[in-house]
Amino acid sequence: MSETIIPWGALPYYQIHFIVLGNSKLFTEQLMARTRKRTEGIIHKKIVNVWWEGGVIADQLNRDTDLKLLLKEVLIKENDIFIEPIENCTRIHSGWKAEHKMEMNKNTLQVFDIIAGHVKKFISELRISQT
Amino acid sequence: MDGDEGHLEENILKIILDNLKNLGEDVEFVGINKFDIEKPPYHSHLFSGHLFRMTDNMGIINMKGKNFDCIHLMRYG
Repeated sequence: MSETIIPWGALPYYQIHFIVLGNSKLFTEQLMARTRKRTEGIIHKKIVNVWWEGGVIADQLNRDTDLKLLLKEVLIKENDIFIEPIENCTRIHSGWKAEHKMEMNKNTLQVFDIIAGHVKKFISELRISQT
Repeated sequence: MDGDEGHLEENILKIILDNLKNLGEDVEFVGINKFDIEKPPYHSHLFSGHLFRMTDNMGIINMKGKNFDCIHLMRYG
């Protein structure tokens, strides 16, 4: 439970964090990234372009064309994806979602898996370059 | 109306686990408050618009054969 309890109670909005373990606090600037997108249409919303913004990892993610193709489909539902290094782990997550929108499909899971792979590889490269 | 009240809130973990199992994944709910990663902060608050700090921990789900180590579920408020 949160230390500060809000008077209206917990709300039915949830977030799923995909966690890559390992202390990544040292690499916050390089590891922080988020998606940006350009959309077309209002009723039939379509994503025409997706790109990553943030630290050095954003360049690596922008070079992955397969990931970009998947993101164009997945971000319609997920809205945006964030990579956040916290003290003892790196968290990859999208926004808050209502309980009836929590179910994932295979592509969503694949996207988070690919991003986690990039994060793991990037952290190991940074560790090697530091030693 | 029996069983309707609060049906999703109680079962959100079951919904997610069933969803992942239907996708053919090997998943398992590990528990709540067992690991260090379940302690706040859950967000870096470095992205603009990420100001909400009150978040409830709902536990950890383990999934085998993936690049990420585990899944952390949390609730707003």
